[in-house]
Amino acid sequence: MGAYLIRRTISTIVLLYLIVTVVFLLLHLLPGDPAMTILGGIDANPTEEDIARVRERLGLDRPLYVQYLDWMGSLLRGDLGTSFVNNRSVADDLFTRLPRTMMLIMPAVILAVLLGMPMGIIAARFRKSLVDPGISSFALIGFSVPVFVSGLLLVYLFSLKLGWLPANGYVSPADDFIGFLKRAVMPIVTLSLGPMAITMRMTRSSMLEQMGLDYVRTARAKGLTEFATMYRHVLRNALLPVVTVVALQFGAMFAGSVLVELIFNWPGVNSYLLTSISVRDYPVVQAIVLVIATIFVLINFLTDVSFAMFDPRIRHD
Amino acid sequence: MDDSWQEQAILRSDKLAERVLQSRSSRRSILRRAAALGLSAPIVGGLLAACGGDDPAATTAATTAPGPDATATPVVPGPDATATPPAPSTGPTATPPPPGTGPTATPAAEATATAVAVDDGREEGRPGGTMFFGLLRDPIAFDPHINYGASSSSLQGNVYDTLVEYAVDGSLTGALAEGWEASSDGLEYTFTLRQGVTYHDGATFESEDVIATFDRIMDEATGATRRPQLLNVAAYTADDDYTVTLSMTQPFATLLAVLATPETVIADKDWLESGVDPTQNMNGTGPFMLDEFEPNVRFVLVKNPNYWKPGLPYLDRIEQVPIPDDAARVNAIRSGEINFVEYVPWQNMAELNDDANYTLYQGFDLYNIVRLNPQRPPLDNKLVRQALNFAIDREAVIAVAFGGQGEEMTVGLFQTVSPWYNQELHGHWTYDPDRAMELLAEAGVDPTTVTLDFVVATISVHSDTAQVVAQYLQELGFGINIIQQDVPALTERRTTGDYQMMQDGLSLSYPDPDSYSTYFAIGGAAHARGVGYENETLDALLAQGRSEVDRDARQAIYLEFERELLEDAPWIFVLFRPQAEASVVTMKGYVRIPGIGLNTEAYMEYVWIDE
Repeated sequence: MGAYLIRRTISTIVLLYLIVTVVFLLLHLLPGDPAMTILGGIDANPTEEDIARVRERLGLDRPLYVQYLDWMGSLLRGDLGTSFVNNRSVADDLFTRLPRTMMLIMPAVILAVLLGMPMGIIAARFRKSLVDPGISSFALIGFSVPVFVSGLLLVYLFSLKLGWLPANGYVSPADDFIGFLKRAVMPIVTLSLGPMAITMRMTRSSMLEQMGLDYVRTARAKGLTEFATMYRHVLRNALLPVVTVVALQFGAMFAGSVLVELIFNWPGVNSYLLTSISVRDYPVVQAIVLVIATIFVLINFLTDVSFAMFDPRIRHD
Repeated sequence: MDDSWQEQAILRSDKLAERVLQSRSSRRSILRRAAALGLSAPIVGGLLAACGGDDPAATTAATTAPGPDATATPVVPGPDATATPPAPSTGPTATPPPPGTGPTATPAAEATATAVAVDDGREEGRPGGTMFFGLLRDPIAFDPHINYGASSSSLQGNVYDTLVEYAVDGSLTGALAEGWEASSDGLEYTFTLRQGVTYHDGATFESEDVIATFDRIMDEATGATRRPQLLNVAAYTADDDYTVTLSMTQPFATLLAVLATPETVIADKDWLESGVDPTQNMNGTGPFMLDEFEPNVRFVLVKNPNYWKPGLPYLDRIEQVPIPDDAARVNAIRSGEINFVEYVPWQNMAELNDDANYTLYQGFDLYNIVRLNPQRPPLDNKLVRQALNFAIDREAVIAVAFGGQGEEMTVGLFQTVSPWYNQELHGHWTYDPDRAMELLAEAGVDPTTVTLDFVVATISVHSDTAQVVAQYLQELGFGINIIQQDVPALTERRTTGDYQMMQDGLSLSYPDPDSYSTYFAIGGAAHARGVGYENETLDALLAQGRSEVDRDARQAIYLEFERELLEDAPWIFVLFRPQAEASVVTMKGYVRIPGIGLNTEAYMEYVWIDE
């Protein structure tokens, strides 16, 4: 187990290093010059001297490898840098925004599991009734409808038609908790629909697979109630793949929340990323990608490690 | 949703299809394209706009109409001293100005419709209330002398004041300068500054602040947006605490217009020198003070109780909320989260205009054009450039790309309502494919052997136009290779001239034909420098127009200029596209100032809420 942990840790670090380097290179190779954006965007007409002056101030006139080494150096010192555009500390802004995205993602995952798993269990148990196709088609819809459709439908219904919820926006839960909840509920539901459907389908198929196995027949034969068979034996064994899928979904939700933040005007880390890309604010983009990648990789790492603990076959691969 | 614009678009695209049918494209493909543009634009446009950055054209919006008459005769306006203080007890009896009603409404019509008007031509309002203002994008920083796009300008413009500003009819009037006098040769302007004006931090406004501001703008290290236009100013001196003299190297007809742009606001000398970061702090003399802000979430302005215009501002507070997504911005005003919104997507204009709960303020301030690079054959031949201009059915482009809302560009950059519009040239550019083919034949260019690279930003108000323009060029036989890029990539190509054709959306820097010089003067920063465009006739006429102080003589110069411009056809002149703000119907006093379009957002002191 120890050797496995070390191996996985090293590969995780190497992976992060590669991600960070590739993002650095991609960003600098991307057409578009931060200096031109800083000098006023699309309608401004800076002279070459103006541009050169700004590039010098930002250190963009140095050779790429110098910029790269400089950046890696500050990263190792734990310094995420300052924004090109407004000189604000990237770390400050990033760690204001990251929790807001988590405030959508965490409840969405919980909601997806709380509703998706029971639906999967019910669908599996009542496979031969109309319940299963009912739940399954619901899941199919949840899975296929993109967030910008489901999100806008929710806005149309609950904000424009019924007037129950604000269409979009954000207030800090510290200032106005009820207001925060009102604004958070639609993005959370929108974000959870896809993962909910996947959780449901995974639970259902995993349950069905287990239900056909010999130990289930044995359990029934020894006189266990259907309830005990299902929940003490089948469900427990069926859960392992479901946990993997949920963990993967958690990472995928960062991607899904890009659009959700846009539709609901939620000032999370993804809208920060979009704004920064659109002005080529290199330090901010690099820092955000680094942080999101770290979270993604860490989740996978923890999932792998926990599996290795549960299942000895994995760590001996 | 009101779908009349869609029907209209489809009907007009039917016509487009008829015409196109004569050649290779099928009627169905055109209709499909029109439908795709119209139906997918709200969502796709929103996404693209958010991903691709700001709406470019917007940065310094400005149009036309009774443009500022920047003659050098002495003008001593007494701007707002006449504004009577508000009388809350009686309340306004005035009916609100009618909102823009489709393409025919002009801003000027709105302005004249007020029932009760005080001497400055504005309705008297009632104090109190909060404006919740949905912005297109995050005001990324506040440097008073740098343009970061319209969303930032609306913030800076209400915190800072300029020396000169626009009255509601579009004429220039005094702001921090009470009045000014020009020497007879037009080489010297003496400004009398307003006394008793204080900054938000309590400091007093004096001539040294004007000098410090000019120092800052002229300092290359600042990167000030208006520095190029002010290079004509040879010296600026403070004669006493409330008098400032500007000396020019040559007569400079547009000085006042430049001093009215939001990038020449006056800041306090001591504050600038205190080492404070002006990109993150603001301290002006304007109607509103920056209270607090959090990037991307909200920017809160509160009423300045010591504002120098008596009785103003009416509003207690302005909360600006950036909502980059088009659909989200419209939903926010429809659900009551905000009560004022900028950049209404054109798909929603008719719908908001027809709804009794909202007021739409529409203008056609932005122009969509196609830049042509004269270094890249066959565009080095002016006959070819003329042919491209005759190849486009502008009416059909407006129908397909903007649902019929827009104005055809048949001459140059001025709308028909502008006092600078040259009626003699009206209708020069028409849809005449036969003429286009003749010109190409004369130039010895066989379009079927040419493929044109066409760069366009990933913003629907640009790319939709480009798609239709491309279609028409294909009708002539050209191969068209559309290259879509996001805004920073496009900006780089434009600055370095790395394109053959480029779709762009622009606005006048200020409502004066000298704006042409930023594009077509030799070395003109906004176009000529990038592609090495040189036309000595145009250049000479622009220099002449800039130093001529007589209004009629200038008009004659710019008529000659436009004649040569049409002959040389440096761009494909396409259309004026619609732009609009909207508010709830109870919000009043927002009147789009003719000639400056979206920059009217810097005049929020006149806005009030009637409830």
